[in-house]
Amino acid sequence: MAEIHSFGNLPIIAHAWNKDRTQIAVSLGKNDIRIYHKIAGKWILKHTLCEHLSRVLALDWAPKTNQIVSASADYNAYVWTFENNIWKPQMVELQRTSRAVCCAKWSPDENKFAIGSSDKNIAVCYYEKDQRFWAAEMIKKKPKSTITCIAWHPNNQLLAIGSCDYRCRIYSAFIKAVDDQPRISNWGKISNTGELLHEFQSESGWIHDVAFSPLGDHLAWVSHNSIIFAVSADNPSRITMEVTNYLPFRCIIFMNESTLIVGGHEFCPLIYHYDSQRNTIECVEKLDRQEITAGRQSIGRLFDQPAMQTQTPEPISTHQSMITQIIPYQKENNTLVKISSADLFGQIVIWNLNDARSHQTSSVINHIQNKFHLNDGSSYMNGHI
Amino acid sequence: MTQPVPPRTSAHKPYLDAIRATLQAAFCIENFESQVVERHNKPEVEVKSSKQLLLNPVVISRNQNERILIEGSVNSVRISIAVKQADDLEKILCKRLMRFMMQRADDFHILRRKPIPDYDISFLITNFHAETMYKHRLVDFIIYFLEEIDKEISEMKLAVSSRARMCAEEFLKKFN
Repeated sequence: MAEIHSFGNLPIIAHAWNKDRTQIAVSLGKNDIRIYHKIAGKWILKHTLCEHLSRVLALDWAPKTNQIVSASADYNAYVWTFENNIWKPQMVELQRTSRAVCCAKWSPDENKFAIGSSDKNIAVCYYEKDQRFWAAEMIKKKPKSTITCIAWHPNNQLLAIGSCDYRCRIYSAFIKAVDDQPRISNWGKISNTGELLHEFQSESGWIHDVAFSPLGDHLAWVSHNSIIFAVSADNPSRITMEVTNYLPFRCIIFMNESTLIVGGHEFCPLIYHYDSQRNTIECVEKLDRQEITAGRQSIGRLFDQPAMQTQTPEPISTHQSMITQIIPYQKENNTLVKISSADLFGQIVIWNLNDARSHQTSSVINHIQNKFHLNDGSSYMNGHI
Repeated sequence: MTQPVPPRTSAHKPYLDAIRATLQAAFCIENFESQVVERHNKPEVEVKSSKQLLLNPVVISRNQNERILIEGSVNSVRISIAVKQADDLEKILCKRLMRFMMQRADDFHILRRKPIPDYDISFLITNFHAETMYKHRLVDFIIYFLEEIDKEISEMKLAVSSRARMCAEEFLKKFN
């Protein structure tokens, strides 16, 4: 059963959960970050963090240290700490970044975070204890275009970066001040910050999202030409491609070592199985099980102009718009049990991956309820005049 | 409860189906801040700041006179339509009708004030429109627009001809 939470009609650009999933930080396409607290099943706005001057593009909440990193189009990133019941911002010293900061992610150990921006810079930021500020180390071998997505390797020292120059790269994010020793992983030996370990081509499609598997042995990314790519550490030269017939995906996440979930313009998360031995990626199923019934179609027609003869069928899925982000919600011994996905119409849906194979019984009622909520009788605009 | 609408089989169907499929793919747009100017968010299909952010433009045509050009990019889509104009009267009517709509482009939201050269009318749809409007509805609207424009112009042509005939009759009665 998918839980649906709605935050009005505004697009959810980024969202992040706190450690026990009682609070959620969302960026609703404006300059502020809203933190909602779940009290008695309803979402109450608890804090509004306004420090940014432009749209907040990325959010990440570190569960253990309880800090939020936020990146915005005004080429600033802030780290927010919760002290005395208010969130205090601290600016990250990003020199030489003169364009929007598009993505930000905490590392698995939460002592550093990585930032990617529109001026082709990637910065790994850590807390400088003596001078008490967040310092940034830029990576020298820059990609040729905007950075769109970042993923950390579980060993806290490797970064995968996807950008608009159709390439996915793995860099080392080892910082001498914070990390004790460079760790050896299956992807190669690292000795310095910012070493380019691997570069993968993605056949002329902008890379929308990249993800490492939970143990770090596989890397997968999705690009705008509707292809899912995956590569395994034991054979980095052999890239597995799966050309899908769906509209491009915008987010990818690993459920366990061999199963991935993708979501995007197709409005529905899909599950794929990656087999590195046989070099295949196969579709397992769609997460959204909605049945077509005659009742729903005629209710749909009530709101549609009878003059339009040829019509796109209403998307029968829980999301009515592009999925912007999928983040893990609940983990159980190295496998994801629940994920949460956000879309452009203010909805956050929590999917339970365990009963993905079982039939959803109340999905019809859910869908009709959603329709009445979103579709106010105006066909083209989503309730806007 | 309205009756289910019967599908109309028309000669245009393969043309419209091709347009629908291309539009659904082209409308996969998302927010993208400018790489060139700080703090700006421009429709890349208009600015064309870097080649890698643009998709290949597609022209779908029924014949030389009826074409549709779809140019996509990472955060915006530009759709230009060339309307069928068979004779001089249709040319004048089409030009006036398009000018009428383009002068009110602000209220129309997705309309462009000037058409691309070689075409009669252009739409510019950005990711901000996609955030407030349903994507499948936008696609439906463009298809509907294509179907209706031809009908409108034929109706107006008939109206002009019949009015001209009536005026001429009345005028020439004097000389009878």
